[in-house]
Amino acid sequence: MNIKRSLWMALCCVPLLWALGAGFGRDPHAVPSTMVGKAAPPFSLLDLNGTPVSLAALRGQPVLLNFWATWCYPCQAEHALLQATARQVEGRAHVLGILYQDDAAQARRFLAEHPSPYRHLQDGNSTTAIDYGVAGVPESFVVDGNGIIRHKQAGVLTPEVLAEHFVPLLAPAKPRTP
Amino acid sequence: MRAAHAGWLLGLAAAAAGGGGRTAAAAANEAPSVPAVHHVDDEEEVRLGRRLRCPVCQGMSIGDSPSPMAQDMMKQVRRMHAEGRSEDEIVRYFTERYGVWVLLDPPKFGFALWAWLLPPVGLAAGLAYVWQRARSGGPSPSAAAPADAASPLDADDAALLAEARRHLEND
Repeated sequence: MNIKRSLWMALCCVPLLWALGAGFGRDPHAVPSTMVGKAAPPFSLLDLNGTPVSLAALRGQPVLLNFWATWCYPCQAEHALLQATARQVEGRAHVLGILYQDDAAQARRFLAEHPSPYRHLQDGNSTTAIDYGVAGVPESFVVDGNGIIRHKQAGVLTPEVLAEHFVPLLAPAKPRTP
Repeated sequence: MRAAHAGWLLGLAAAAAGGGGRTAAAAANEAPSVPAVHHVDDEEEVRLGRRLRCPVCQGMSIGDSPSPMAQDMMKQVRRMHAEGRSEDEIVRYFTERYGVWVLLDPPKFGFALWAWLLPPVGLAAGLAYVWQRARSGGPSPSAAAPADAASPLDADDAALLAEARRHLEND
């Protein structure tokens, strides 16, 4: 095999190997988000008690939106972190759960066993999930006080993710009066 | 984004292999079956259903997938279509939320343009190569049969061959 042919082979194979190699180490299920930096799509949904909740009414404070389902084990795993976060940020930010492809009765049963300090909204026909480009659960969105999406987390939330993307948006906690 | 593009490139072979069947299926679906005024609308919805990728499936369109998420996305397509939104507007709605990833056919701009350009370029290069080889007169010496009597053999090879022949003749 002469040098010219080797060069041609390399010219053909290297870009192909590079393209194939670029795919390794990536999650084939991960759907890239185009929502970060855009205005959060507005919604008005009923919570599990039938009370309407709209995103517009929460304007002025950061919102952590968590799309979840009772049949999703990773969602159950991150529930404790969301409970703790909601308690910590009470009065400074909002945490909202949005049910994804799930039944309200199932969610009530789950929440009866795992009481939640934040509200959970019903999203019939997945309208809000599609509006946010949700491709699976759990997925969470950090929305700032101006209604702009600042971060999308595809997969389980961690304290590190919250510390990096959610906590900096919070107003400093007011000192407690004795 | 790069992963999605790589996915398209990898999917080219599959698309080429399954293209005939898919086209036939699409044609069957688009064949006029309901002689009502709604027929044209249905055809557009079917087309949109085939253009958009189901986010919870592996390479399936929302029109083909039985998953609840894909069915909800189809409902959204029908709702927007009933509101009078054009096909381009509906496609833009989904690409703004899911990115161009949601399109089963890669877009004809940016990096994804390679997915459209490379197959014909590769085919043309291959045909040019074959044509050039045919014109210059048959296969190269390296592609000729190695056991040819005219092939140059070194001393070791010739000795080995002679021994093998002897064995065969003795048997």
